[in-house]
Amino acid sequence: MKFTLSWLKDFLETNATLEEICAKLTVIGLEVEEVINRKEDLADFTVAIIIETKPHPNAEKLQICTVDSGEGMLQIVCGAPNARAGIKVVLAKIDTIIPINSMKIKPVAIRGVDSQGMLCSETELKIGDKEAGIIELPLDAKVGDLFIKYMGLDDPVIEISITPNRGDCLGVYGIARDLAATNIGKLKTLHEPIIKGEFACPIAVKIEDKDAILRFTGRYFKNVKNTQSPDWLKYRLINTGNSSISTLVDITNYISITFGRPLHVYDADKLPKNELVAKRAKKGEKFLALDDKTYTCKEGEVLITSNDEIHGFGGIIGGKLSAVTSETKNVFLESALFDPIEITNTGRAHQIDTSARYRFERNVDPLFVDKGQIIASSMIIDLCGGQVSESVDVGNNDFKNSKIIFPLSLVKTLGGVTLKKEKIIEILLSLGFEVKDLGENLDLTVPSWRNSDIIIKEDIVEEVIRINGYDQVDLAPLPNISPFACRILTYRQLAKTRVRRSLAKNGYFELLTWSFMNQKLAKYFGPVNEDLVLANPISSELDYMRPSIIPNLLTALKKNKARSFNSAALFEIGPVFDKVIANNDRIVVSGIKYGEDVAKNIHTRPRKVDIFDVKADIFDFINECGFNPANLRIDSKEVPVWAHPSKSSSIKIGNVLIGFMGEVHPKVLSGFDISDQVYAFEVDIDLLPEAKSKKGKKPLPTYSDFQVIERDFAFLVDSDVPSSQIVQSAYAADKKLIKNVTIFDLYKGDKIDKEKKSIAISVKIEPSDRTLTDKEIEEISQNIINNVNKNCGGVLRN
Amino acid sequence: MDLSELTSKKNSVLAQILASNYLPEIEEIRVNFLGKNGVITSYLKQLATVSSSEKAQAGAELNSIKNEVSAALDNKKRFLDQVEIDKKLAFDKLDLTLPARNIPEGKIHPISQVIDEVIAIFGSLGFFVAEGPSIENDFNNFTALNIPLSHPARQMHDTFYLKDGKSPEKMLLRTHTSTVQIRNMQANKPPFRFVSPGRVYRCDWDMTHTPMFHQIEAVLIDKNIHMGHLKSCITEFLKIFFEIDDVPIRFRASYFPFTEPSAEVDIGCAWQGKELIIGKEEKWLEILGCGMVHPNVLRSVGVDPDIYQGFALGMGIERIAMLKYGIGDLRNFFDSDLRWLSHYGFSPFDIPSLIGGLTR
Repeated sequence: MKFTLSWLKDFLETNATLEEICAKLTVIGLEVEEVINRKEDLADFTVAIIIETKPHPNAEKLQICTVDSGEGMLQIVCGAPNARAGIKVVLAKIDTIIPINSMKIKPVAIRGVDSQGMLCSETELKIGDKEAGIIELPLDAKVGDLFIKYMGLDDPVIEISITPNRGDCLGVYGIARDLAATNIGKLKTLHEPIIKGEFACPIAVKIEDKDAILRFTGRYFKNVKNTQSPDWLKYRLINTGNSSISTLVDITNYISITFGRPLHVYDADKLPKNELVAKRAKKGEKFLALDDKTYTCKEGEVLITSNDEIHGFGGIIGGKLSAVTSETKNVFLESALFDPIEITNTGRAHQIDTSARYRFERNVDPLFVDKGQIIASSMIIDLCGGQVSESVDVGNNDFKNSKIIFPLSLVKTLGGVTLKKEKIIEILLSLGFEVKDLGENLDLTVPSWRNSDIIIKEDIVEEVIRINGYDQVDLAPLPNISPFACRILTYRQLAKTRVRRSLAKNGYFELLTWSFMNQKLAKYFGPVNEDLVLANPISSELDYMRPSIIPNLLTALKKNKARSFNSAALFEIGPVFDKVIANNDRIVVSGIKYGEDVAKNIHTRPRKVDIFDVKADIFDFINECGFNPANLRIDSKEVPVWAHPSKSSSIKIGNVLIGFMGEVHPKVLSGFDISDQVYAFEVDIDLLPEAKSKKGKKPLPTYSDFQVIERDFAFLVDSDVPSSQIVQSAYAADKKLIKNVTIFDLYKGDKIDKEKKSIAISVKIEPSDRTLTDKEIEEISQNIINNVNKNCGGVLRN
Repeated sequence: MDLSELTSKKNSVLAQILASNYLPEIEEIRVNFLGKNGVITSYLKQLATVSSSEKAQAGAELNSIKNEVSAALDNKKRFLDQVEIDKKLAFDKLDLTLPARNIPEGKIHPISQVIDEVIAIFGSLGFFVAEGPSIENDFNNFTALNIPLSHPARQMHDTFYLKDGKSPEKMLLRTHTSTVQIRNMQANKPPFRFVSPGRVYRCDWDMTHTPMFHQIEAVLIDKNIHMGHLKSCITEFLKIFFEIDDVPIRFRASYFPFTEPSAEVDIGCAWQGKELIIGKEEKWLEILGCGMVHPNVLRSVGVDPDIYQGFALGMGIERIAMLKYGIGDLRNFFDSDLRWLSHYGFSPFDIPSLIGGLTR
């Protein structure tokens, strides 16, 4: 919403400065977005007249102008096609700064001819968008005068953003009323002209569908002249970003901006019949609107028609067929009241954004239908001449203001401000409420222009404290919570933090990628679930709720590879989607690693990363979450679709599948156009078993001071026996004394049977209460050998 | 027994020891003088021939000479050993200017870090963390929050919808974390005191909008909560978050369908060249929206607004992260650029806490 300071002061009597007014607007909820004060920028520009022009000897498109600045004659080289003798122009003298580029004018020679200044265009002064040609001021402009006196440029423009509830402030008058309530000034009494119709309105107005339009009023004007608007009106409109079209159209726009009251003017001679009918559209009817577009109506849309020809989408846009022009003589002025929901639906369906739609959607004042029509009529008579008819008026006229019983105590108990009753009443009166003092309560009548916004007693609290100032609300300390439990995060929330920081510690970069992805790439991660396709994606590459984070990580890998990151580890913690309805997102952690383990260095030879690097990282964060990773089950029978079938596995706790790890399938990598080997994992954080807090307690230590014995064994087993089975069998030989079993060698090759592998383990035996005898040690060793033999078919190698 | 010759031999040996700088030479002197067939031994053999009256004195003198030479030899040997060690160490010289071994360095994303910071602050104020899903129904995202179908506020949200054919109503991606307010209040009994961080989605993508971003919302509902509590909660939060005791804060009236009264909050800041300095009262920057929870919202979750009332506040994580850490471009958050993450990311050991300052 843009308006000028003088426009505001038409209705607000105030001594406040522009800055004070703007600061006040912002705090009462009418946030100032921009103030354009051209007084300063354009202070140095003056009015001049071109005395004569002659062609430039060295340039075809340039002219040499002799210009009278009022202080003497100047020679100025100008390239504007409209530069000619006799016109009044805007002069930038030497040392003047041009707004568009902040350049200072200096005396220069242009193609060998001296130039002592510049004649300016609208764009150069940032006051309009007319690029071609210099500004031509009215012929009565005084040479030597300050330019800002013309075109209304000494009037600062204020732009405020209006929240959707404040339809009443989509008019300058409403803004003035809000400001006046803060005591920054006084609201001037609105002068209401009296219009006496000179004849009966020849246009019959009808409402065919009662719900389509609430009220329909208007007047007929005979013999009007529709030319250019007077300067004050023209420049107010232009300087606030509207265009000046013709007096009649400008008047309707002026009433709309001043009072938030949309109007429409029909060229009465172009209506096929002396009638205007509000009715519902039939499906498929065509309507040529003022914006030169033809719309195909949907069933039931609200139309204004004449002899079944469509002349408007009610309250949104008028029709081209009855548009007013400079030849227009007889017009009909419409002031009507439409249902905001109808307006929204039609406006949305056809994507028509007009100032009328904008205002009707935000509820116009239902009691201003007549006033707006009368003020506009008076302006038409003043500016366009002619004769006015009596008013026609159909529809519902029995608006009732809503009532609220307001307990005064609420200002303190909800608003947090202690205010005297008198002050509260004063604020409400100045906002237009009718107030009856009932003692503890106020009996309030809500002003018609706030009818849709102010409904409950809490709304009144906002009105009072907003006008009084939010800065007047005193800070009140938050109540204590007792008993205060110190654990703010649940186990699962904490697990996310632990996993995140564990991975970052191990060299992973945390990414945040979209929750959606390309449906075409998603197929590598399982069948596409049609329910999880977006109906209105932002782009076709982000049209599907991701079933896994790994694809997004692969995309990120590719991007970073292009930025010369030849090795990296990436992870993300976030939601993945496999169904539509859930009480919470399925939160997973996914990571990938590619390239070499370290950068080229003097100490070690870099090696390719592998799945065991990734496995270590997984174990580390599982451990951080309070679960012993030794108890995870690595099950290579169940592998994910995205992974290499024989170099991947599922990760389970008991029978619960918590995730996968593995080398990414070459087919997937080629789908992402990646040539590296990539190792990946994805673990459901929510499926980690909740480690119950032990409140810091640890079991007593079990280590002893007796000598620890280490024994090494090498077993020959079938190739497909999982190594973990050998380790478990060794452990099982003596659960009390065996503290650790480590695999330290794996051999497959010529020296042994092709179908076999050799696995060497080191077993740590730690007695708790005495040193073991050789015989006892020998017994444990034999148990280990027997166990491995029995469970895994392993044979001790010699 | 005449020991004068021995004394002069001793003096010459001591001189030899003093002069020698060679360990084998010292050993040779030891053998020659103190060894089995050495000078001292030969005198000891003679001792048997002397009279018993002289024996004691001669023995003592002999012993003294032996000790004196032995000590001199030991000293010299120790000295030469040390010289030898020093020489060997000097020879083993290691170039410590060679680079250290690589320790892999990962980074925490600034958004995760800021969420942790905000939780740390609200946690200290007694707010618990509540979460909810990305995919929501219309009721939780709009209707329950006092945004009816025709409400113009719905136009402020560019909502993503799912194609989903099975659900009875059209499912959407939540446009704000206020949905968690509804879920949490429906599932529990008042009083409520929680924060809800999370991903939100809006169909908008340009310089200052991304189709996904993060919000955090704080809700406090109890029996006597008013605007004064809201103001102090926000003031406290902003002070701690920006780590500025007197950060200028401005509350101004605004509108949200789910709060009444409503406010927006600005903080004071100033531009110094290309850098934005928070805490100067020169220019106001909007930082969050808030208000007293609308009675209709409380009713929609089965809470009696005549008994309970309270506030809600919400803010964009990206926005406060950009302001605090001077991050210029919103789009970088989701760009997965390791150069950017190396620069703006956080160490895993930067765990936000209120006792040592929120950040380094």
